[in-house]
Amino acid sequence: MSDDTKKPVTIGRRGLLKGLGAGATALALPTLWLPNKAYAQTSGRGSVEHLIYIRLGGGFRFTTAFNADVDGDFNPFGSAGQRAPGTEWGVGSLLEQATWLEGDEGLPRVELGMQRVTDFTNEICVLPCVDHEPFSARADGNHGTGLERFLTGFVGGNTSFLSYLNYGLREKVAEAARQGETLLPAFSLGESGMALGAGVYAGYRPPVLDGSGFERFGFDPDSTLPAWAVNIAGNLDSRLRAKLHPGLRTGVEAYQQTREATRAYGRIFRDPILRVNATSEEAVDGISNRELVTMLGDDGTGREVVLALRLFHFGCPAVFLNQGFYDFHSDEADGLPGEMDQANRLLSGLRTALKRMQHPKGGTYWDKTLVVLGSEFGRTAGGNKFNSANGSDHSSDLATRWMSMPMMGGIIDQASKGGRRLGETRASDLKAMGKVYSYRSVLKTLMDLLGADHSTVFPADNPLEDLFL
Amino acid sequence: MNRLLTRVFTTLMTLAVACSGDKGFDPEQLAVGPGGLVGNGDPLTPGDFAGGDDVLPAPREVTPPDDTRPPDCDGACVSYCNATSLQNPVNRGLCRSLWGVGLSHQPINHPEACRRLFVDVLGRLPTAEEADATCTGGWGATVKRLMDSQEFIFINQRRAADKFLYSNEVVNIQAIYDMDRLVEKLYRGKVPYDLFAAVVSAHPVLTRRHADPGDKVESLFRLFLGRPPFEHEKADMARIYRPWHSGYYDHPQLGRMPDAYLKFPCLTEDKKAVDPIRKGECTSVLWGYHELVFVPDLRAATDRQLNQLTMWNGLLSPEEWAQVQLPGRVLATELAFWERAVDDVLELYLGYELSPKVPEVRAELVRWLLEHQGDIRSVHYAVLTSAAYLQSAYGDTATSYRWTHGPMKQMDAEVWIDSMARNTGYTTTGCDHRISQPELLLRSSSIAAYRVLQSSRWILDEEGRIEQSYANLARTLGGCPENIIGGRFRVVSILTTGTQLAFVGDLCNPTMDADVRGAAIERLLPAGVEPGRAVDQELAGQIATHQYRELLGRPPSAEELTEAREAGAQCALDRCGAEQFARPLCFALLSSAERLFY
Repeated sequence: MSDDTKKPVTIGRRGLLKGLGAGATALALPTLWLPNKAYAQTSGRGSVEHLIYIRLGGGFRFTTAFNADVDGDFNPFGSAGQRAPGTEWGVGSLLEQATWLEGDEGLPRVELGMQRVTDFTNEICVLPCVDHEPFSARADGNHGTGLERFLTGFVGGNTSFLSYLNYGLREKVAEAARQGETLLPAFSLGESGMALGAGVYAGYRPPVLDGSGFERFGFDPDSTLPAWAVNIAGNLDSRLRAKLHPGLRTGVEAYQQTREATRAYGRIFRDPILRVNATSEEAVDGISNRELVTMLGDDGTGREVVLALRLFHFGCPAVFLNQGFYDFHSDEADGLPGEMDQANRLLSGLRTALKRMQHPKGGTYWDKTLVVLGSEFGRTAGGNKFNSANGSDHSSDLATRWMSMPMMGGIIDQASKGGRRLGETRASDLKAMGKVYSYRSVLKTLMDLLGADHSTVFPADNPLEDLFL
Repeated sequence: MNRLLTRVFTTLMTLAVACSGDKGFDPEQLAVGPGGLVGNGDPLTPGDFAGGDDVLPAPREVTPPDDTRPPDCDGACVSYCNATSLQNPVNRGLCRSLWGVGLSHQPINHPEACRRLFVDVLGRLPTAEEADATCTGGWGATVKRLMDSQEFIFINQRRAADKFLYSNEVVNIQAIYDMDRLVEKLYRGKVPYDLFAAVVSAHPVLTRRHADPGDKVESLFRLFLGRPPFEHEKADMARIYRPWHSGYYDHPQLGRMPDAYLKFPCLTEDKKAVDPIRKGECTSVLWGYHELVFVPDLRAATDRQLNQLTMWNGLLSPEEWAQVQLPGRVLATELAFWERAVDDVLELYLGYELSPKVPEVRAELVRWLLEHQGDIRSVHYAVLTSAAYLQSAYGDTATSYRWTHGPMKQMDAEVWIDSMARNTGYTTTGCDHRISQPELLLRSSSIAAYRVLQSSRWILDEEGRIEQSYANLARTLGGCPENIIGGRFRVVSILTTGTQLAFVGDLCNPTMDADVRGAAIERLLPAGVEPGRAVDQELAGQIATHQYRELLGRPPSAEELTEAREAGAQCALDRCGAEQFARPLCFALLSSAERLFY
């Protein structure tokens, strides 16, 4: 009759170290890979090792950047004067912003190989019409529910994308553990909404890390505490557990287990390469933290991206982070170019860094990484260039509806989709002229490319084979 | 014509405000909304509730049930329970599944009970001295004293923020402050629970957060009935949510903010009268005939995006507010509404769902709440003084019936951090549940918004930046939620545990790192003990006794005292001083699970 339904959710070492997924098996034993026909999958299943998923925070006016060949009311900033050869998607003039390449300050970045985004738009594939609910009568332009959809797939969704991903990779992680390797899970940098998990997914919630590093893990109880203190600490927990009613021990046991597990993970978390604030000169994977910070920036988001790249070194499959704040209900004309400047720097810096970084499994990180940008919805000015406050809003129309999501990385190159546009909108009114993809399909595609088991995720939505056609 | 009239009206309004002697923007008086219209009189009850010091009966002398099935209270059991003089409704309901069937409750000692009460009611752990000084006299009087404190109001305001997911990105901050004020009135006993629900049902905190009428209904049902609506309920009630529109309000000082507006559906083409055919689309019929149609007047203005007339919620009259609060009033006619109200309180304090296991408790509490005119404090008091709450979590029991032993819960992140700081004299900052995203106020580049932040619980540094270290720590541990999605969580994970160990490491500074701003050593040593004094077994015992009382809120057991003395002897081998012993001991105690669970 014991009925404690509210047991603490535990991401214990055992949970995190469980299993190697089918995708990873395929990578390890490619000749033995037999696709699982029980559920839909893409031709690129398991071909990506790492994902950087960046949310342009607050709702992004996609038509100003990634679906820019539209009327002025949708893109008051205009299209880019030039774009890389072979680019068919609408490149906004805002993607030309690159103050970080200018002057003496920009010189190191030029020398490191960074370019304007408009110089490599032919390496980026854009899905102009990604929609929360393709069968819905209108867009969801509400911050709360729009973001719920973005992070979990549904309104009121109780499991986030990264929790699904960690769950889907459980077998891969467990197999690595059997081989004596500790693989880090997917991380959410600063966004707790990306760490929801219910039911079987509860134990696979990604760690949420605020700040840009693991400085908080600098404390090492093993090496700093005298033995008698370690003894007292351990005995306190053991005595508490023993004293408790048997039905109430779960939480304390979980705490004891995770405290033990922090030792294994602590060794990773205390690794100097995760000290992205230290800007070390030591090259790891062919690049130093100083070079990465030079490329990606010394601000919070820049360091988060640096940290993401370093987490990948320890087997982390995916990192989610927020960039900028695009909820420009006012002063968008002045504010948006500055925010885009930062976003452009991340795109350019990531491209350059990933191409330089040598992956432990061979090849470059670029070959094995996918970079995706999204936002909870698009933005509208209600048929004008800007609203009355010189900004834009979000409501129920097509401008709000379409999330024109860009993707870049080795898999896009390999699929010959660089510069391509999968879908199209009419310039005058944004009516969809091509394919409309459900946002859940996009998330499922990302899981598929990472080789995660998605058989229990979004059953009505299939991953996008169009990327490989 | 309408536009002209709107301009004239706006001009008149502006002149009226200018001539009214308004002293301008006051960040301390930010609340604007329907919460200001209610609960402005005396409390519903004096707050002196009965049943705080029940003498608990002995178990009836029968063979107690085994735990393979629910207990069966036969006629003799009912008579036994009826004969008791129990006044507490939880105890009365519990009797038929506990003492009446021959089961015992698990007795609790004073420190354990007082510790639990402090965390639940004040949001922090007490020291042993504080517990001794506070939890004196009758238990009922102690509970009443703590419930009368401002901290009780505050912790319930924070819980409301978690429940209603306050987010200043989605909702006008003035409305959030208004809701916070309404919650205070609820916990001061000035607003009955059904009126509270009615106000919430049309409050911008709910109506602006959810875009779709159906989503508003869903949220309302989950909040006040604890379940989603059935499709027919949703479709019906959504009709009286149709007028709401999510728009933006240009505050003269704070700038553009999201806010709730009313639209005018179900009218004739000229918008001057109710359309007799279409009014059904604005009428709920499932709980009686409830028509909700507004005809625009001078207060309405054309929304450029919708190309329709809308009216800002701040222009609604009290009578109109009462009209739009229909959904909450409808729900309050349901018994399930009151059952959910008491279930929420039971789960809050017990950490598990008692009502489905012992439904008599729910029935008694609902009756109790209605007898006390919907004063929700009566339910809090009843649960906090009940045998279900006042049971020990320690020791085994003959059966595993959940209600035969006490609660054990995990602390909220803020409670954990604040208690640590308070017990050690460590200085921390804080976060403000009313402003979940303070950076948005700074971004607005408005002096008024800056003043709001200054008068909030957020701390700004000398350069006007928000001090985020507390929030970052709390957010990693599940607190200070931004509430855009999800909200507060309690989790035991490698990351949270690692973060907690690191924080305790900073606080206790066991390595005595000169660069670490740890807790003052004076707080970790008994009075009069110099930090450099050589440790021996005797002194180690004294330090341990002091720290167990200060940091764990209880004296050490004999076993723990012996262990500490032996540790002192080991430490002495390295010529250890009092501080060298006290700081690692501080880490050992504060990093224990005992500080996380209660």
